Amino acid sequence: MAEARKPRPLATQAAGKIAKFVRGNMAATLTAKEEGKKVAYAYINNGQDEIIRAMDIVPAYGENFAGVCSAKRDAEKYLQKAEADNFSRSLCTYATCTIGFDMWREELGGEIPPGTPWGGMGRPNMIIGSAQQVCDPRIKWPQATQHYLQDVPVWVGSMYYPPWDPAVDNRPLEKLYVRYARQELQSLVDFCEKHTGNKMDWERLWSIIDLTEKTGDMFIDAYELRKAHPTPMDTGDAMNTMVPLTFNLGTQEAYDYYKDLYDELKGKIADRKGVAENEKYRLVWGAGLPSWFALGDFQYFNDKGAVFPVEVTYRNAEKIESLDLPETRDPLERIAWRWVRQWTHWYDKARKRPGSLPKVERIIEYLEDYECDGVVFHSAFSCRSWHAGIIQQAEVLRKVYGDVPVLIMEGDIVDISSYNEADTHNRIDAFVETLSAKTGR
Amino acid sequence: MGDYFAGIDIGSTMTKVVILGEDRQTSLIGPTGPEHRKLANRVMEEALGSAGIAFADVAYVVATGYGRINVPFADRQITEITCHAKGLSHLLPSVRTVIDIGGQDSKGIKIKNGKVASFVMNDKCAAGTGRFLEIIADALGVPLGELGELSASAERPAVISNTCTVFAEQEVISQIAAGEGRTRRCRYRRRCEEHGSCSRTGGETGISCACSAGASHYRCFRSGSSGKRDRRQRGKRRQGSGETEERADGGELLFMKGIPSRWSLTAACPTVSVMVSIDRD
Repeated sequence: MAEARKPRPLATQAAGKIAKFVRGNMAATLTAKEEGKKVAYAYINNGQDEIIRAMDIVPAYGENFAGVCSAKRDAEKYLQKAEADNFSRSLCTYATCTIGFDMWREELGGEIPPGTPWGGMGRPNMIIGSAQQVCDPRIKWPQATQHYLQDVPVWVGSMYYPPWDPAVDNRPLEKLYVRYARQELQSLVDFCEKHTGNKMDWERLWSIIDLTEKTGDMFIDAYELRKAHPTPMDTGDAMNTMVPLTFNLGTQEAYDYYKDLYDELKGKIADRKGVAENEKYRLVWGAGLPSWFALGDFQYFNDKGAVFPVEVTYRNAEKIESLDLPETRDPLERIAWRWVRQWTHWYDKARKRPGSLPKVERIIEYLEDYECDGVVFHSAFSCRSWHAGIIQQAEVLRKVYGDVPVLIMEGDIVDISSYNEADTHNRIDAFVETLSAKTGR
Repeated sequence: MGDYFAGIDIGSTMTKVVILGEDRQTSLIGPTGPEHRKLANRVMEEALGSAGIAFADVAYVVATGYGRINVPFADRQITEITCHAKGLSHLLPSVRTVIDIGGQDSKGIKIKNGKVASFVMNDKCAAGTGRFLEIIADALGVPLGELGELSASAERPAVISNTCTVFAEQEVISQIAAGEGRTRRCRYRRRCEEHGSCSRTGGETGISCACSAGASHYRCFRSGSSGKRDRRQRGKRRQGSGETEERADGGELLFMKGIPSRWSLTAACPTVSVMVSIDRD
């Protein structure tokens, strides 16, 4: 049975609206059939959102479902279900939680298992996989899901971008990667047309692309307000406010949400309302998905005067003008260019600082722009593809930028058995003491 | 205001109290139980009684350790990480790195200008912690206090390959069952020394390193051990460890010089992991 838990107090009203957003997204997957719409299992940060929206397909994100289960501390039953079918606990727990849910729903003939948090997700009509660029489990996750949903067609794209190599100029290679990504996106359009029976409305796709880019700009405008002292919003809230950008990209609701957030943060700054009563230390959340079942740890930081005005995690947009995208009349090519540049635009900076890495340059930029004192990483046990590089990032950061206080926390995104609250708080206490010693505050 | 200062460390396994004043110094140590608040009051009263002073004579109390938040009379709670750094910087000013092998975790602490510059912890695994020593001592039927001496005197150690405490215990039991360890001498070796690696917090040639907490009392941690591998590595060890210094309480502290220039560690568990061997004779 799920453990009752007091929700974390949220600093912004915008963050408080997210539960409704998420419930709406999950409910849409359950009512889609009645509305004559198709449901697709999708995976976040995929470069495919605009196509999915333009085809009127309802996305169902396993990462969102598993995150909700984790936050409700109610994921164990799905993890055990998957584990009983020989899925290891060391696999991505977003995947195993969702697969466990899929297995259970299939056993019930498509009915949602009783007690599923927030109603669960509807059975998909297709699976649109997105691999490579974020994590390796997503290459196999769709296929593993299809093992239980054998009538559901699967498409998996990769959306490659030039890998980082300090000795290689990636610019001449970009066109090749854009061409490849464009072909993949075309193949996705073909797949969607085949399985929905509808043709792509290219004008509609263009308008969704415009809306997506406008939303990304508004998102960045709102988030950059967090540079203020005291910061009006920290990462604890950002782990909520990321939802529209991550799960509702290409919708008017997402744009409106960030406009509201922008207005709210402006008001907080005018009133000098900060996240912490006495802001003493400003930190960058350098990498890592949070422990969804322990978001209260952000409050623990806040209570000690430590705030996070900025984070790498889920900041999956850049101001369009900063990407310097080439002109094109092809909407798929536009998506491809934006995709490639979004992942590679840190390369130039990294090349200028010998020994550095693009990810480290990003952290350095945030340290300076947001006037931060230290960096916190969260190493989630089951999310190895992202978290495997955390120690290296911390080492390189110290090497190329100086002795910045760094804390690496350990836990998991979903699996609570890898988390120890007392030890985590002990680490935070010691880190805050280190910050105090370093800053003299 | 009183003339004395008190420190109370409610660790995961042991609780320690120290009272300091110009004219006296009192300390006591005992096991940590389940009720930290009661324990804190009781051990403080005992320490005060032993020092022959009243609580009103104590000007300031600092609590540390995992149970520090359960010391109601403390003026301040400070993590054991900062306390280690402060204490060792006072006792051994040249120390730059501390390896703290505690009852339930192990830590590497980097000190700069007497303050904590950074730290890493292993708190997910019992390997490399005092708990490991307790469990293995129990499996061998050897009193915990004798473990270090026995370890150092083993001549033909049997290798235990597991670092996991539970699996290492199983391996020890299996070897005993196979008749390998009639004299059942155990031997521990600092994995950090064997691998030339210790902690992510180090990194400079010539820095000094101190081993702290309960495990620092074990001879095997302080001065290495004998055997075939020792002969092979003798030169390195002489350069790498060799020296010990007297601690304020009369105990010895490891004081190593010439740590390899690049310490690196890939996993949390073996931060300061130890290897147990059973003598085959």
